[in-house]
Amino acid sequence: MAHCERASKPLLQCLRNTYSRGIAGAQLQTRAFQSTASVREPEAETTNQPFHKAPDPSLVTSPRLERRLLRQGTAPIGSRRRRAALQDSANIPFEQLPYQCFQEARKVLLADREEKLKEIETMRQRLARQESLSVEEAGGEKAKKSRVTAMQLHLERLKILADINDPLVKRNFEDGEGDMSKPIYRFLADRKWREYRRKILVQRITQMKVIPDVLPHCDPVVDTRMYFGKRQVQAGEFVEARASTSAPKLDIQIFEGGEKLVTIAIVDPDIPNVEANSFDYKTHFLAVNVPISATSTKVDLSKLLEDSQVVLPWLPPVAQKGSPYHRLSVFIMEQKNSRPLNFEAIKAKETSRDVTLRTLQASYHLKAIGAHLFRTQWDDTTLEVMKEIGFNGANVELRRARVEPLPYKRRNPSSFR
Amino acid sequence: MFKPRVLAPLRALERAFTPTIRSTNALSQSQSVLRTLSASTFPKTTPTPSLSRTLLPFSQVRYASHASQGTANRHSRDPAGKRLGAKRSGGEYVVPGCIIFRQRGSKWFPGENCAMGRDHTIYATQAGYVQYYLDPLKHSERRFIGVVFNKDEKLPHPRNAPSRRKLNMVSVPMAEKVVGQSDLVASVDENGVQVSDVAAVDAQSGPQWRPGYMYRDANWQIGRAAEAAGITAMPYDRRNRWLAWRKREQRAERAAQMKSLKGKKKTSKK
Amino acid sequence: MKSLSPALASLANVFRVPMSMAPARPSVSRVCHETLNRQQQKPGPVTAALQSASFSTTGAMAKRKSGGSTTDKRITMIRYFLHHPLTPRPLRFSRNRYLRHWTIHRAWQLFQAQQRRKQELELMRQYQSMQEACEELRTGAGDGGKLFRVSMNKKGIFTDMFPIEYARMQTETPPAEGWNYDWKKPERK
Repeated sequence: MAHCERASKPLLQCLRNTYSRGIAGAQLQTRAFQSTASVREPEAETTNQPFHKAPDPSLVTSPRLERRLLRQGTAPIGSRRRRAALQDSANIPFEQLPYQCFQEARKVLLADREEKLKEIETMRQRLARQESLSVEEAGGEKAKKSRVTAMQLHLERLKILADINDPLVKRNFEDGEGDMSKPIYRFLADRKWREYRRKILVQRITQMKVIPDVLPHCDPVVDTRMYFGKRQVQAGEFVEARASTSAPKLDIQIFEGGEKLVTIAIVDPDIPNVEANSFDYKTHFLAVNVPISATSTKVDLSKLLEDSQVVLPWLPPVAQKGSPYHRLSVFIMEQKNSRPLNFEAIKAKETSRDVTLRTLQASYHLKAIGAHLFRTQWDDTTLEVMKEIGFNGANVELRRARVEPLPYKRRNPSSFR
Repeated sequence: MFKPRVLAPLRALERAFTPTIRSTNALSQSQSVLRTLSASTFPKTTPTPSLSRTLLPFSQVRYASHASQGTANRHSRDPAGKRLGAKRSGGEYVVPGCIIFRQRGSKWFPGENCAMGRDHTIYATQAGYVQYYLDPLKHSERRFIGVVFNKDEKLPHPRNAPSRRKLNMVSVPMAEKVVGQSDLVASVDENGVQVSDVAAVDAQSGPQWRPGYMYRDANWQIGRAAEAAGITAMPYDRRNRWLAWRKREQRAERAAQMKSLKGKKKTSKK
Repeated sequence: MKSLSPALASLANVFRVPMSMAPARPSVSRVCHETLNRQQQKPGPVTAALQSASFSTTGAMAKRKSGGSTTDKRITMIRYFLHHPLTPRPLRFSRNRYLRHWTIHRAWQLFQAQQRRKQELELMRQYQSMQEACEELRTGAGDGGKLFRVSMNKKGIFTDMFPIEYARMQTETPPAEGWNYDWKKPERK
């Protein structure tokens, strides 16, 4: 018997005794909160093969088998002592664990959930009744709309309240197994995003002045991650020119139900214009009618449809030598009422890459719901990329212009001592 | 003829009181003591003028005899002016680096196209026209100094307007990279002095004409000569105090030698 | 004074052994002095991780001032006291135990919220029933609201101060002598 097994023996004995006494009562009253309870893994694979042939990473204890697992590429889960304890445990589901206070607490929570479900049902009926009313009966278009909206909001809130106290929901969410089609997981994800990642994003886009430069205002409500190849790019990071030759992949997580059609634009507000002594805008990518929902979040910009989505294909960003860094800002913009835009008309009209995003936003009634940002500057790979894409300023570098000093003004000598 | 003799001890009492008693309360008490004394013993006497004159002026007044004397070294306490304040007024043209305001502490803050120096001096970072302004949306209390490109612009700009910027750069043809000829080669062209080192392949191919006016190996090869010859240095052992002592002695000896040489030189010069 | 080893001291702390020899926690000022004087030789794991990150969290002035990388003194202090053997160990739960703890906590919070809500509703109900009674008195008594007006009259009612006999201490049970029916309001002279 291994040392760890010997150490965990008293604990196991203790647990087993309590289980045998506690389970019979607990079995009746316990039930998973949700109808889709966590499915217990059937122990089929362990019966098919002997344990030493296919060791389970959550149960393996002997160092030899652990080493074999590691060689195969799967690390054992938890400590060896824990695994030894798990080998002999009864493997009771979490909600049936025989702790008195815990079970009493579950009873309270379950009763509350039942109540909430009833409320949801009544709320649904009231909402249906309200919607079926004609405009005259409801007292005007505006009153009816506001009432229906308020009811819908309350219904959404009730749905969240029904599930927020469920420990299994919490566990699933923490494990990253949350089902984004359910409002509770969306709510939890939104809260987590707002706690840290959104703050960082907002700080970056305001400190780097993307917000007044590209768009007047943006209140991000969708979580956006960006990948060049397999590498994730944090908001505002410098990206090598070689890495950004192909279009990035976006992971756009919205926290509302339903599908949305969005326009994705990548704009560089820092194209140096030497003649005008100022900066120009350049749209590096523009795609319309991109469907986004809470469950389908991945958008590969290079795989969008050429004939119905991509208005301006990806143009690799390059920064001329000596020029200040370029901010490539990605904006996810919701189309009005999620209606598709007329692709052909836009494709025919928006041929120039120099149009500012403000103009586009105004002409197509777009609303920015998400943003991201990366930067480029001159690096070792920029020259090659410039030659590949036929950039016409490749052989030119920018130097600081000489500032004419103020003319020397002689002071009035009579005022000197 | 009898009165003055009786009053003499009272005067002595009064003299004893005057330096200690300060408050008017004590004063009135002492006066009343005197008065009752005088009233009981000498019913017909009027209060003597000497008593009242010496007892009344208790409030301390400093007259001109102390403070108005001129100090011998006034300037040690009244330092020279530091020439602080505005160097450029509103609407004046400035170039980058031009000092606009000198101050102690941040009485003014740098606004658009301005920056604050190490001693809180506000200076321009762009060429333009100075403006002194308040920006309540940015900070409710602070006063800012900014520089605008056009004289008729008004600061602060609206918060959601794109920032006004200037490139201030010229495009020149990209400088060619200079190919190195030796270990360390310097060449002067229109781009300035270019310093580079010889390519590794050339260095390995054998002795070449190098700085120092001779054919020789590359510096890095000379540096590795000992390694190639298989000479190894004794590994350092910090517990080997015998070796440490020897080295220290050598160093001291050498220092003494150098010192003596130095002294000789001096004497020879003289 | 002989000082115990840190492990021993922490054990003593855990088992609440009263020790006169127990090393007092070093005074804050002394520790401050030591940490401020000591130059940090190597960056800790946290600072190293920060430097490898694409964005630096070092303040601009801190970066400019220090040649090498130094850990913030405050962080050093916090770490010192957190990991001092006399500091009680943090509450660490296993995953399941934490979830159970969380469940119980949520249930308790929910229970309290329900109680508060119930109380609030009860108060609201009482207020509304009183209001309804008044309304009934005003409209349904059939005397044109005279009774209501008289009852709303505040004359002869204690508006500023109450007699001391009313100020009975609030108790769980009723008083032994019960209600004093013979009590009359003292005549004001």
